[in-house]
Amino acid sequence: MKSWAIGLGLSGVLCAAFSSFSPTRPTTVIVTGDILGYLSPCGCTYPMIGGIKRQATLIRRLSRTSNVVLLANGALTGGTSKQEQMKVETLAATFGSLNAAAINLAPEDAKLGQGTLQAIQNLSNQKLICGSIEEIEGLPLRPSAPAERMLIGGVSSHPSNLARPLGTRAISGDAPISSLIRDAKEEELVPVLLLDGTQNDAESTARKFPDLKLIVYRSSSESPLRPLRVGQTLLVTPGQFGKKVVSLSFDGKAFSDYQVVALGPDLVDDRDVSKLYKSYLHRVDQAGFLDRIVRKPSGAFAGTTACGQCHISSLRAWKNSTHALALANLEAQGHGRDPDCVTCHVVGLNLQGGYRSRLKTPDMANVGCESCHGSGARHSQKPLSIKMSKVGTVMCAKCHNPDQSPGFNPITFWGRIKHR
Amino acid sequence: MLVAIVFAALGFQALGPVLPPSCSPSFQATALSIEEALQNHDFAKASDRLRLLPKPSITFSWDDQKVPAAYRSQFRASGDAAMSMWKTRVPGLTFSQKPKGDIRISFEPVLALRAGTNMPAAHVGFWSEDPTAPRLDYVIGLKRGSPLKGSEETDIFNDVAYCVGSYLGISDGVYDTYTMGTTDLSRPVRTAISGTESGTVHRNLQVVRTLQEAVKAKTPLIAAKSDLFIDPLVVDGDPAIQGDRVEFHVQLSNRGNGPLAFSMFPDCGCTVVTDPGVVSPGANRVVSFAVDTTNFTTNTTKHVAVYTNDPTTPVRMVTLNVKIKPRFRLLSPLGDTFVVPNGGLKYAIYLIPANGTSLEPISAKLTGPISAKVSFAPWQGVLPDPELNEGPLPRKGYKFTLDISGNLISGRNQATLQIFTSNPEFPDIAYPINAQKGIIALPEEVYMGLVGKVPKSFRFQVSRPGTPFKILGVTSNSPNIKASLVAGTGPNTYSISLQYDGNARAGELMAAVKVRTNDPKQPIIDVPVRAMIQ
Repeated sequence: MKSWAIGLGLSGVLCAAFSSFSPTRPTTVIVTGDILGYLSPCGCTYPMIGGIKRQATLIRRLSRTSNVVLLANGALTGGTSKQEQMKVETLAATFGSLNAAAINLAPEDAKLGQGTLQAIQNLSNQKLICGSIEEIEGLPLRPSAPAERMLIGGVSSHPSNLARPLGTRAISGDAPISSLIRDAKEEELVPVLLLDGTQNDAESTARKFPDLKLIVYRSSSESPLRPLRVGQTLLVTPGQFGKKVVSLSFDGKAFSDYQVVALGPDLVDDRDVSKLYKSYLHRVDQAGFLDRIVRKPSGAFAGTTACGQCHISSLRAWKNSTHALALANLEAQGHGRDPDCVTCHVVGLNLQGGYRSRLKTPDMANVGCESCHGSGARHSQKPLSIKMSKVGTVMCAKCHNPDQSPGFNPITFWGRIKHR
Repeated sequence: MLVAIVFAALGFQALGPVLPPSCSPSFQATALSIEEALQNHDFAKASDRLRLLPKPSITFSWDDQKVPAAYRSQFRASGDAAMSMWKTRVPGLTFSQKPKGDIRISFEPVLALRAGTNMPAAHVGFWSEDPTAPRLDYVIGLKRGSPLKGSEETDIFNDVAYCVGSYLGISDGVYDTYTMGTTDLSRPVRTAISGTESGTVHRNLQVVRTLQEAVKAKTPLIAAKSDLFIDPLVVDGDPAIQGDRVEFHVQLSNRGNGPLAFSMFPDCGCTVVTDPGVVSPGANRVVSFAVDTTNFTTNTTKHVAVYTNDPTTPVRMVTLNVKIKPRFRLLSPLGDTFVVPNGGLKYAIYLIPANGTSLEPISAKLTGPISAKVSFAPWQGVLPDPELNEGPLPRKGYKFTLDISGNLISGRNQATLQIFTSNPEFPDIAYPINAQKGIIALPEEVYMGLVGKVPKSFRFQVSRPGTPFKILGVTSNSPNIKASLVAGTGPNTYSISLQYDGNARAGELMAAVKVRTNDPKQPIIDVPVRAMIQ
């Protein structure tokens, strides 16, 4: 039995077992996409996964033993604000620093306009591709990009969603994919498609174009545990929010060794991308987004200190909880003026009576009583006649949602902040 | 246990301890063989077989003779780290190295092909009942994958962690992220021990203690196996609107003669599953899953791993197909970025609630540097929804009109339309818009990222859609950045080239490029340039 396992064991020289001695370097394809602005993992429950700093570490680690081809299937962000634009620029610079092979244009990116696409091209070494729209004045955008023995094309199942915000015309139908396959054949390369489309779109494309060896599609679901295949075509998706990447081996003809790799805390932050990220946070600070946040009408807040004058034991419980350090923890990570994060770390950021800054509203820094119970100034003035409404665990879910707080359990976590 | 002893005293035989979900076939076989011996009153055999069960004080031997000397210390450190992880996650476990241990870990250059694949096994374990041999003889390949490549420290960590998990009686898992999610490929990151895995170890060790006590007390037990049937394995949910909780139900049937213990583990925090439980032999139980669709606007698929003590397939996957439509849509024929002419613009946005959703606007206002009168009224008509790939369809909702003045500041202006509604779930809805006027730089700020000591070039555009203009000159205020107009571009959109010479001092570079135009209202367009110089 044991001889079965080690049958090949004694053949070859032992040192040759290690890839560093291997005469040819294998090729690893890493697939990312649909990052939707999640540059860094967010949350309060271990283990948070994802983030561009970890993705960079993984890619540099793999680069030590193989040629890495990084494919990004678009949707760098999900909004159109200036902060989203900064995120896209940071991601594009990250992809540039990692020598990404291609970034497919998705409607979310097109919505940011021609200027942002130009920035992506500047920062990613012209790696943004799209075969589904006609030429845009002043913006070089190729339909495909070569890498190793592959020709990578970018196509959308709904090209009008790309063309409309950019003021150009869509190229509909099969023409972009047909020309990708033709070009690949001429150059003796393997055609790979980055598809702005669903799993169904990918399956029908694979049936129609069996020459495609790999199709990357978009999905709000997790990457499947086993790869999907239609004939000889492999269909993969990285899921959403940059939490995981798909890893494949490429031997010059076909893809194998499908793995979904979660970007967990085992991957320490990459030094160069950490610098880019720091630069992003610096830009966010300087832009003063927190001061320009859109606020909704609200009642007046009392502040945690005022609540604690009567609710003494509750204040004590709060002081011993991490809620009391929520903003301090965020500031320690450099996110103290980042509206994306601050909203869950203070009282009422998006409300007119809520947190402005530590100086202006010190009693609303951190997650306080009124984060869950609502504005309480009127109750603090007339505590017997004006009662606060009771809140349940549904309030926790506003911040502790599955994306930001994986593994959060309201019952066990209530034990950490229990008060009456 | 007390119940079993009382039953035995009364002449009844009790069932053996319920084996935990996701215990391995090997652990089950050993536990059942002890129960069978007890059932047959063969207490000597039962006592002898107890030594085959895992112990919390684990002894191991480490044979790295075949590992090249340069890698030995790294691989050993990886193995130690894996054992350390187990000690942290399951307090009470200890590891000690002995010449002959419960586990023997050794290495071979390449292992044989895994059955049914064209890839060599990365690691393989051999179970032995011979009292002079290690219980688990675990061999790790120094090369793995196809084509073969050298095993890395991370692989050794993962393999040793998996080996310990196997010894402790956990079945192979389905999630690659976790320790028992084994693969023959080289995995670039370390796995972690999941709550399910550490929980299984605790419960397995409890079973071991129960069997030890039964043998000691010579208590006869009945050996029994569960046999799971799940119906269906793929479930299509009813169509839902975003925010709904979609319920799914499947039936677990136990066709065996022993109790079926189960627990479930979803692949998304949005999915709530039934608590762990037990299905009696011959019985059925309907279990429920609920998917919270708040964070989804389109169809999605979720999975639930069902862990059981069925010895043939301890883990099975249930697929949940969730059909979701958004709660409401905000549609604007002009898009959310548009150009405002000198005479101003009437900009329309349509709020279309999903059928059955009450979403009546109470008031609306525009926040930001755009001056506009906002009005709204009920509306019914035909509109496409390109983002959802829907052509022109009859729709019903509210039309919001923003009467934007032509006195807008030149450049790109961002504002947010806030709609306040009567629906307590959606009391306010925000819709950001970008209004462009006159000549604008695209992007408005040139971010060069992390730049080293090598020259690099960048481009940006200066544009006024629909109205030609001329660029009279381009200058940069930084000695390290040269700006020039790209020949052949215009007359509505011009490209400007920036050449960085690679000589700026390390730190943050802040510069500005001035673009002179022939428009008297916008004679100069200032474009900030920013870079991190390494």
